[in-house]
Amino acid sequence: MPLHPLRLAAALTSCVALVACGGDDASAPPAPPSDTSAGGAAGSAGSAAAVVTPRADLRADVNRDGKVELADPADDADEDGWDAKHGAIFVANLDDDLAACSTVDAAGKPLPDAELASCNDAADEIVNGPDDELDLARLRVAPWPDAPDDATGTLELSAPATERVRLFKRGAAGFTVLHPGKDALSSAELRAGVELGLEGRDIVRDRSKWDGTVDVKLSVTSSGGLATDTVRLRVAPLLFFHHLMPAEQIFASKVGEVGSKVFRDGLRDAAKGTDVVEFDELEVDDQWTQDFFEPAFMSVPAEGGARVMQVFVRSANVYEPNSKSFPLREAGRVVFERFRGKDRAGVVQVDVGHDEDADTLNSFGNLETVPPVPGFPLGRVIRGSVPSFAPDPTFQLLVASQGVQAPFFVDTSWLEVAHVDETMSFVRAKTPLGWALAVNDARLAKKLLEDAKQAGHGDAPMFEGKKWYSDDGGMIPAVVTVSQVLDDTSVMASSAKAAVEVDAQVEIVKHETGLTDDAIIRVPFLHHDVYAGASAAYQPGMVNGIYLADDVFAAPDPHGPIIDGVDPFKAATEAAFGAHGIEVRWVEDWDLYHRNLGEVHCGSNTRRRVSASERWWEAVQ
Amino acid sequence: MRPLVCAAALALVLTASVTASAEPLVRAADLPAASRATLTAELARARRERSALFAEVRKVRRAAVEQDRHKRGRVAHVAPALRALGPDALLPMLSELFEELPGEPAKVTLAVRLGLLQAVGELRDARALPVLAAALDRGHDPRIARTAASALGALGTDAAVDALLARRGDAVIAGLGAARRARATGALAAMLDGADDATAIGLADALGDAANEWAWQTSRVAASGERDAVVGVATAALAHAFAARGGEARARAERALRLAGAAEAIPALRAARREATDTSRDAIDALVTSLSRRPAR
Repeated sequence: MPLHPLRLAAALTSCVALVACGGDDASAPPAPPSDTSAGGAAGSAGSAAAVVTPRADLRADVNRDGKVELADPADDADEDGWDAKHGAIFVANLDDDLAACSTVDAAGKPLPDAELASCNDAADEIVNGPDDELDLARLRVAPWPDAPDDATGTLELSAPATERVRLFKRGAAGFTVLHPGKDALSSAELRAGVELGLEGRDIVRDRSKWDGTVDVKLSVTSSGGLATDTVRLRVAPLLFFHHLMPAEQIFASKVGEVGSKVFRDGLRDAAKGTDVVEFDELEVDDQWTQDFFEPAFMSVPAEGGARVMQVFVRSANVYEPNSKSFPLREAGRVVFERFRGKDRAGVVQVDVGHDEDADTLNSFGNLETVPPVPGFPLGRVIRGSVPSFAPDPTFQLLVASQGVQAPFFVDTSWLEVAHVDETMSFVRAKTPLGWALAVNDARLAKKLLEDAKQAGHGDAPMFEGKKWYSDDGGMIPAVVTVSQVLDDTSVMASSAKAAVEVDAQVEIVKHETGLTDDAIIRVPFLHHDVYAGASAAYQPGMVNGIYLADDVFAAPDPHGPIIDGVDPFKAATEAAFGAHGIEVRWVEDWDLYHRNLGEVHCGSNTRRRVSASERWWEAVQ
Repeated sequence: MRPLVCAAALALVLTASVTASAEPLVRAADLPAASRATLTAELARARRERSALFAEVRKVRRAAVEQDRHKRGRVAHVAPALRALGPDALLPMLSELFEELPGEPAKVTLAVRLGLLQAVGELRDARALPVLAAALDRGHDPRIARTAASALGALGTDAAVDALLARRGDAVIAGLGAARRARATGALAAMLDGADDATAIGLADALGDAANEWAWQTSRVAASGERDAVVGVATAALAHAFAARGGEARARAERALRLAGAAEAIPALRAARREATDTSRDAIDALVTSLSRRPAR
């Protein structure tokens, strides 16, 4: 069977782009200066004075202080092992520090999806400038001043990492590639010591094929015999931001419609006074900014904290499965065309042949990260997925293979869009876990309407001034009264089902995280069927908002009934968030978003700040 | 006016749609002769009296192209605009089910059909029966079939239940649940007893729809006067399935019981407990406790 170009690209990337992982653990116990030494003359004390026992001493940042220090025994002890307490780390060098990657071909036409994704700093054997040097994990061959002229050194990489990492050696001209098993270290280099650099050529995509580790083995031979030393390193995982990390940058698509400007203006206003420093408007014809890419990061220990490489992940949405060159959702090209650059990597993982009917699950509105819970200090990924309706399996495998934010799943198959962000969000709160779950509560919505009716406001209009789609600009009024909604069989039946299904989702979150009922923020809105068996938010889904700061949550204006000057839906939501010190700021999203089955979160995206305390290496599973 | 001419013209439209290059969801030939004649006459009259509504429905359909471009998820959501046109839009909407617009993208056509079927079902007008039955028979897409069946069931008439009981399949099961009528629910309960687990899942969902507590609080559903019969039969069957089955079938039975509400589900579960195994009794007790703690309403 012919391999699809994108699958082929992924396969090639896996083989070519990863540089420094190892799988076996065949290293010998540490015995500085050499792990092992052997040789006829080496151990024969009292024999000819010219024979010198070889010395092999390879060091890395085993103690994770951002430095490789020959004088520090912590950079040597147990260097051939790797666990939460010690072990060197490297990064997949998937950024483009010199902005050298082209996005078009020689004729100026957009590069095909697979080719677009294949370019990065790890794609060649060159260190692309001083910034690229910073992306290399350093190793040092300790000087052996007494090395005889016949001494040589070689380096080996363990399988299956050999094709997934790349080694460089610093010389007079800077770092140049070193081919393990072919390029030898001379006696002069051994005497002076050698600085090496190691880059990952890819992230881990399938842990069963590569677990992200590499053993780098130094062998030194001379007439005195053989000595070896092995260091184990592990590639940094791809990690997703959770909501307790401060928002720094927000994104929204600039779609050429009035509703887009209204939305962006509202979002900009909502962000005022927060720590968001950048509002990035993307010129794409796809207003679902949450869905077509996901900001993420990789980090490695550095002096004073961590060095972070931002990562932008293109969604595994296949919109044109029959297209060999451009099968993927077009807007996702921003990952490579706009975001990839200095210290910013682009990643895509997709099986173009995945279940077309379940493609909506590959949008990143269906990938959220639960904030930290015991055992998972960087949180856990949560997605909508059931066995018969699941996201791209290769992307699922990629997420699980990172080994840090163990994913778990809830049932979203009852939703037409089927994204987890339709029913839940997470905010900082003074709870045992340090956060609270905001979740849709259709029961509360129904009660608010019943209370209004009972108080004599059954004729109060909802959705006043709002319109449904029509060919002449949306002239069909959406207005409806409280009593009409309560007597609408479709809305009521669908909302009851939503209440039960959300309960089931919450039970899973509680089971997986230890969440308790007092850490749940109930957000009232009803559902209706898009068609039989598939529902969506009937009122603007207020839980589907963007968390802009610890004390600011931007939610869609629900356009509820105004009773005594108050919208009870706004009031209930403001009170629920307010109990945790969070202000709700309202954003108008009806025209371009709510009517099309999405809300504020769906139409925005967020890059968050990585603090020095986000030390994934202490949390690996 | 010239009713005879108009009727003939409309009949011609229906006939012409059969010969269109792309197949409409429903063809005039799919309808029984008597229904076809009645519908043709009604469409003719409606076009005379409410021509603006035909234009409004068509506008919604044309807007679906733009809506599809901006949709999130699988299909554009066309139903709300159609529903907002009110009950007089029934015939214009039925008319659109016979139409195939040249150049309309397939995914837009799918969205329009789903929206039309959903909106027609919500009107609960018995005149839609023959068209919905034909749509169910011709709905090769499972979403179309299920939405047509559910719309047919939503009519809630004896004739609609008869039409569903005369057919087979997963979509029909969903339709019987949407009917919320005693005879339909009894048929579902009978099917559940002895069904394989895969079928039981769909039956549990349908019984949950039938017993849906909030639906019974709306006037149209309550008007049948069959609430106690429907909910009683549904919860008894679901409680039995919960006790007797495992895995996903039990999970779906649980959710369906929650839809029925604690007041109905708990007695049914207690009754089922008497014949349950020890393991199932523990599960029933846990569910009863959970339902007591968090009633559906």
